[in-house]
Amino acid sequence: MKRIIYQTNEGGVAIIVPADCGLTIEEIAAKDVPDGKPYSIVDVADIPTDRTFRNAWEMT
Amino acid sequence: MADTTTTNLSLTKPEVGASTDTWGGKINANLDAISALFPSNDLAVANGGTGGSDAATARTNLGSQETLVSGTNIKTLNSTSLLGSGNIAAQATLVSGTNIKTVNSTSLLGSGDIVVGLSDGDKGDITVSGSGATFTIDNTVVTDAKLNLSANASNIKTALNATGSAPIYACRAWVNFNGTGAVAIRASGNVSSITDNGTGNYTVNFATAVPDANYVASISGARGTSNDDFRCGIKFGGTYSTSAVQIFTGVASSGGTYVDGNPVNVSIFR
Repeated sequence: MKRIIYQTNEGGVAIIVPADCGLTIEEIAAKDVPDGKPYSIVDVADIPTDRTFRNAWEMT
Repeated sequence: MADTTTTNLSLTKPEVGASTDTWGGKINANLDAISALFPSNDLAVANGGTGGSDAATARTNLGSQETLVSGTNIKTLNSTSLLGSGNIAAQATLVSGTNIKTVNSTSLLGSGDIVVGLSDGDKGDITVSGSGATFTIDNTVVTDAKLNLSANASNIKTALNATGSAPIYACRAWVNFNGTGAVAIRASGNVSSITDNGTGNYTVNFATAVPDANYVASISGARGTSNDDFRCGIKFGGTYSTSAVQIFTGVASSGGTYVDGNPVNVSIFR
C-alpha cells in the first residue's frame, strides 16, 4: 500500500490515504494534493505509526 | 359451298353433301389435332392446361406459391410483400404469445404510444427478457437520461425501505476510517482519499464533486482509547468545498485538545 506525502504551508507533513475508488495513486495525487505542491509517493511502512508527536513530523 | 374451319382450332368442317371420299381424312386430321393437345394425357400448360393429372402436380407445374400465413410469419408473394406501404395498426390478433413480430424489418406498430391494457382489469407488463436483451427507444438503449421517475417515486422508497410521505435524500459520499496509528480507510463511497493533516485533523476528499458546498457533513466517531471523552466536527476555517471537507476530532475536556479518533465516520448529504 502506498501513501502520498507533501509538506504543509505550516511546515508539517500531510499524508494522503487513498481510498478504493478506482483511481490510481497517481490520479489521486493529481486530484487531492493542493495545486503546485511537490509530493512523494511512499510505502505505508515508511510512515511512523507512533503519532505521539504527529504535529512535529517533518519531511526528510 | 366449300369446306369451312372452326374458329379456335381451325378444324376442317367438310362441306355438307360434298367432300365425297375425303371427309373421312378430314375428320381424322381433326381428331389428330385435338389429340395433340394432350401429349401426356394431360393438357399442356402451354395450351392452357395444368400439365398434371392430379392437384399436387398441377400446383407444381403452375409454379411455386406461398401460403399467405404460415405460423407467426407473414410471407411474401413472389418476392413482393403482401403488405403495402404505411403503418399497420396493432391488433390483438397480431400478438402471438408474448412476441410482436416485425415484417420486412419494419415494426408492425406505427408511431405513437403503446398502451398496455385499457382498464385496471386488463393490465399487462412490458418485459424485456433474454440474456443481453435491452429496452431501446429511438434506437438507443434506455439509460438514466431517458428513465423518467418522479422525485418522490413510491417505488424508489419501497426499494430503500423508506415509508411515509416524507421525501428521501441521498448520501453523496461517506467514509469510515481509523485515524490512529497507521491511518487507514475501512470503507468508503465516493471518497478518493483522506488527508491526515496532523493530530485529530483530517480532510475527506470526494472522488466526484458534490453539486455545491451547501451540503450537510455528518461526523461521528470515538476516541478509540480509554474513555469516551470525545468531540468532532467541521474544522473552523478549514476546507469546506464541493470537493473536500476538513474535520477535526478531539476531547471535550482539557480545552478541547485535538486527539486522533477511531473510528471516524463522515457522511455527506445534499
